[in-house]
Amino acid sequence: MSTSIFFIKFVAKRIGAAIAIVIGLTAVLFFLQSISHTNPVHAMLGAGATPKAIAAEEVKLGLNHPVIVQYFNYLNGLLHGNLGMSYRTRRPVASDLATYLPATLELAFYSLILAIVLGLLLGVLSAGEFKGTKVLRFVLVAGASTPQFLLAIGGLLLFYGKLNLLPATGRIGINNPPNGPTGFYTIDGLLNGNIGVTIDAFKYLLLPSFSVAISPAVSIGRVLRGSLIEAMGQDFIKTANSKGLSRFRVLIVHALRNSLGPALSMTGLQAGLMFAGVVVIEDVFAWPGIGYYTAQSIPSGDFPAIAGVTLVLGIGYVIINTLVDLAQIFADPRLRHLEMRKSSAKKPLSNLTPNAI
Amino acid sequence: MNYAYVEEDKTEDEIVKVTGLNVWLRRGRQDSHILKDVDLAIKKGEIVALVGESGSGKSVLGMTLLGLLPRSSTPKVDGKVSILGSEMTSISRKELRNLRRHSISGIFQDPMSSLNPSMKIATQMKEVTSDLERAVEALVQVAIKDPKSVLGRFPFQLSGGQRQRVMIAMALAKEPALIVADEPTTALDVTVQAQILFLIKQLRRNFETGFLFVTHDLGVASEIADSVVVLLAGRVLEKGPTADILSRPAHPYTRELISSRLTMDQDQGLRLRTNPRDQVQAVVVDGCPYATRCENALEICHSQFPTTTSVGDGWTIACHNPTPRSVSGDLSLEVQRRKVEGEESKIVVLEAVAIEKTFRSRESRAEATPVLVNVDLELHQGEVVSLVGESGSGKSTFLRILAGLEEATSGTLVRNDNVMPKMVFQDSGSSLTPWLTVRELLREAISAKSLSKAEIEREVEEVAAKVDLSTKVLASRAASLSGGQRQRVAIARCVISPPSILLCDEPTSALDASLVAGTLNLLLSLSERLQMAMVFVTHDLAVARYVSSRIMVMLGGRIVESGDSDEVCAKPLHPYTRMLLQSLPGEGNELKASIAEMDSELTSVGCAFSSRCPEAMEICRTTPPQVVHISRQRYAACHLLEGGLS
Amino acid sequence: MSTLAPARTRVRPSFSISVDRHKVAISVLIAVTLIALLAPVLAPDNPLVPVDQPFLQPFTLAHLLGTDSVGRDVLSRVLLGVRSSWLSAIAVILFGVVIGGTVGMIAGVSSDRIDSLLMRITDGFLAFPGPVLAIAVVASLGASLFHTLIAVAIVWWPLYARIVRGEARAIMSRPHIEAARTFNVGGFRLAMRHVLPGVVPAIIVTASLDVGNLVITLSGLSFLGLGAPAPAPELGAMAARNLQYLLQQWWVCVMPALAIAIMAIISNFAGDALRDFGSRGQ
Repeated sequence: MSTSIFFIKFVAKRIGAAIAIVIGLTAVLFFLQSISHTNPVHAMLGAGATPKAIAAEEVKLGLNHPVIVQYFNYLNGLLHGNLGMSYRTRRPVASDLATYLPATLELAFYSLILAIVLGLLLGVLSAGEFKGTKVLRFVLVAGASTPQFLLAIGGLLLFYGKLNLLPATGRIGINNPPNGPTGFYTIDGLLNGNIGVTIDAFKYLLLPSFSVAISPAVSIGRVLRGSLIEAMGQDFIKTANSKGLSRFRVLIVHALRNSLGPALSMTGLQAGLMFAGVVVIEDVFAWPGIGYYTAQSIPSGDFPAIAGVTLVLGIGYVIINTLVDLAQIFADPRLRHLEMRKSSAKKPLSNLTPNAI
Repeated sequence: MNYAYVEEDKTEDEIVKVTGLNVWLRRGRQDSHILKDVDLAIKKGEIVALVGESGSGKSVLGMTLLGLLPRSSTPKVDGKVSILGSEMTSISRKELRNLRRHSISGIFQDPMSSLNPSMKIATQMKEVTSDLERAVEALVQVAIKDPKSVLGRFPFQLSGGQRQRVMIAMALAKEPALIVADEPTTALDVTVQAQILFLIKQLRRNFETGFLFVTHDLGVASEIADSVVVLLAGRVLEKGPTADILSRPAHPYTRELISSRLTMDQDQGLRLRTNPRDQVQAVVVDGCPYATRCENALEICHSQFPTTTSVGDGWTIACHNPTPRSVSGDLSLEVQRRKVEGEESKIVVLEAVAIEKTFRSRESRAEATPVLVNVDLELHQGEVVSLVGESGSGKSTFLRILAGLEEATSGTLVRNDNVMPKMVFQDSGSSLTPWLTVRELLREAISAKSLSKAEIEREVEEVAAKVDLSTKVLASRAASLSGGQRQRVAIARCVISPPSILLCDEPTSALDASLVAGTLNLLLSLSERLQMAMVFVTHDLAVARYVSSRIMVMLGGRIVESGDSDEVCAKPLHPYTRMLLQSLPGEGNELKASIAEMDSELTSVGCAFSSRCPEAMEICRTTPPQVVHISRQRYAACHLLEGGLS
Repeated sequence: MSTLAPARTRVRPSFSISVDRHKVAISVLIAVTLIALLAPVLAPDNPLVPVDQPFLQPFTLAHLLGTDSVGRDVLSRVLLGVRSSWLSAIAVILFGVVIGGTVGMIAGVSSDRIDSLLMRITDGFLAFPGPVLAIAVVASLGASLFHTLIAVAIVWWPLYARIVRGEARAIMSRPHIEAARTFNVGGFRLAMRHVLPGVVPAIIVTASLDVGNLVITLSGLSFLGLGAPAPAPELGAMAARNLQYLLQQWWVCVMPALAIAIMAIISNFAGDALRDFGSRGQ
């Protein structure tokens, strides 16, 4: 089998699997909707509705059809961007999400970058037997054990309460946030030539993104440390050392390249957990994203809103993990080889446990 | 064999001088004393073999010379290690790196893992020599056939032999004064081993490189080394010129090592010599580590390590009482005769006809790899047959089919009874479930179903007595047994309900030399007593010749030669068998291997040996040869024989 | 990768005082479990009703961790919160070990076909972003501790299935299994005697690390209001509801969060110690 055909086949397979998972997710959400303890009709009409109004609403919502037809109607609605009506805001969930999503994307984007950079640093430094490795190991364990909202609370107490260096809540301090093309204030500020906006936006981003990023960074760092230490015990490291290479080259060029795989898998897994973390952190910092929206929707039992958020985040998670899988295969020549020979070879996410909300 | 190499001034040419070296490494939670008062010198262009069994500390010494003791085991080093005038114990990191960059190199055991799997060969070569032409030249020096294309490949795209050549090329590219080679041929097939050894000898001559050659195999040492250092439990027991030590070993331990080696002239009618004290496992703190196994041992041996004394020119031993007790050699407990096949039993216990095995890849149905092609075997009661071949020859697959662990793609297999054959595995330690007790392991191996508890216990105790296991051992878990005990338990499991066929998959290749003889004796005596036929898979012709009456040589999934074991070894028919015989190390047959890299890739079209065969003809590459019979059991498959047998 | 260590004097049995870390780990895990079980007895005051002035300072003899906005004893509430978190985490783990362990063992010792079927199902579960899905499940069922536990258990067991299956497969490919097969040991006995004992250490290590993960995950859900409803002393909810007092009466908010962190740290260190112990044994 030629290489290019193999790649096309492999990519197609992974994309197919991703689509299947998303369809599965819609089925689960539909099921949860149908067993939901809040009756959508009551939620829409309030308690004192007449039986006639209820019947009319049921027809409007399509609840008079058999379940399977309801599901296909639901799927059809999804394809047309119809995520249902929010019980709380009384607006279509889709348009609510469109309002809140950019803020979340910006926070998630910077958090992910921060998590990867910090994770790499923590992993390499703690495996590198430099001075202070023991302290770093403690930091790794402690970091993995700290709930994200404690980090957020601690950050608020220190940088807002005590030092008054950083703002506490919200996304930007100025009155007219840019209405720019990307929805990222940090980038829109630059695009609109207003550097002040960008700086201000970063000030607001700092605490939330660190609070979100620390836990995944620690997880990535731990996995990387483990695989680096394993790699450092391999024979080819002996070879590299016997060539008289510098410690840095041995660690980075020889060991790191052969131990990125598990860390990459972990990054994919952590991305999903980070979304959950984002929900909590947005709640603490009143960050106007879909997490904040979710937190607002929970007390009022607004299931369509929560389902919409779950679907969006789920799709994001599936996309990230599919990309990670593809990156693995392109990064490691051995895997490429292996996959070409027996395509059933999988990189399971074994012994990776998720870390925290 | 012994190249008395440049015997000029003694100290001038010394590139390595180790004096009073002690090394402690952290094992578990304790520091253990790995090397004790080691003295050693290597001269320019000299090959010094460091010989010892597993756990003797030989690799640690090699790593110490490279300054590569694993940091994770917090090494403590005491003594002097001087390499090219630099004192390794006080050298700075930077100087050490410089030394490694320019003057010392290492070659390691497993060529599969000692090259970086995700880097092209070119990149890895460039780390030792920045210019590509030098890299190509180095590859040419190690006789890589197509250096340009090898440079563009990843390690997993090379064969084992090629990888080891690349390793040597990398070690050589900087023209170092010293190369530490840690078991560089152990993971290779005999024929490839012969080539690599030959290559190293050539290179040593061309570059005047000194070698510390770490090995467990005296045969390999005798083949390659100028001098030998014998190490046991971190102590140097004997060192001196190879020829002297091999012909007149002075230390009782060296004598045991040499006499327990199985060679091609071992008398098949005699049991192998064993050291009855081998079973004793005692921790020696201050005394001689060999004292508990030594028949010359005096009181003082247990409490004080002897000082080193000279017994010849550049030849020293550390022993309180070296004189052999008897003339014929020390380990001369009475050597029993063993029954060598008299009248052959006529009862056929197993008949395998035209066994074929093809591994199909799940993805593409077209790509099916044949592993066994038309293999026949007829086995008589009590008979021992050896299957000899290199890795990938299909010998183990065939054995697994006989054991019922795998199914043949086609062919028929008939046994004369309903008892499944039992199998002794290569690594007996790992064939025992570590957390189960010996008693439980033996119990579940009993095939009879309707036994009372008392009967079961009786059977267990009987078999323990048969293989010489104390009843105390029965209660211990498999993981806590010593190597020798594990081997006995593994064999006891097989014979507690004696099968008519016992299959042995390289049962001695993972054992230290001192345990090999005892294991072979036990297997052979059990097969005689219990009338078991044995199929014995091995890569070692000397072992095959000793244990079996019949040898079948396998290559590329076919039997290429079969016959009486003496005849196959004395008058081989197939060129491949000849090459195997010539490749045996330490047989005094002056390695005739050519250093040229040979394609070990098997061609499925013609004869599997055609790419390596010195006498290959056109037809060999296109058509598989027919089997030519001299007698029913004496045959070979080679085009050279098809014109008629001389 | 090191230079040789500088020369030292000869004698050196090392006498560093070392305690068996794994024993400490197990003792601490048991101690926390005891505290969780005995919390109602240990708590000095009723955690649900006001017992004193609101917002009393912490670190006084009367109220070690102070009182909250309505005058309830924070220490008592934290103790009860620890009980609920810790026991909930253990419940989810037990569910994971039993269900996931069974699925994993079956997959691990069965033929390739059954294995890949079971693992496809498991991977399907893992392909969803677990915690996010848990939010949706609780939102659908209604907020209660029991529903939260169901939601988390559903997304958690596949991890155990994966780990157990991976370990079991690794053991199945070891020579002792093949050897046992030649002695006609098969099926149930093979799984229970020759495979399972080798899987147990991995389960123990994973479970002890996982207590921390679960305590944190559950507290996150509780923080969002997806745990037991209002007066119940839950650590996450306590932190969330007192966020408004953070700058003046910080202890009401920080103490419960710290309690979570301490539980997680204990679990992480214990898991690490047990893992080191296990890998040394091999």
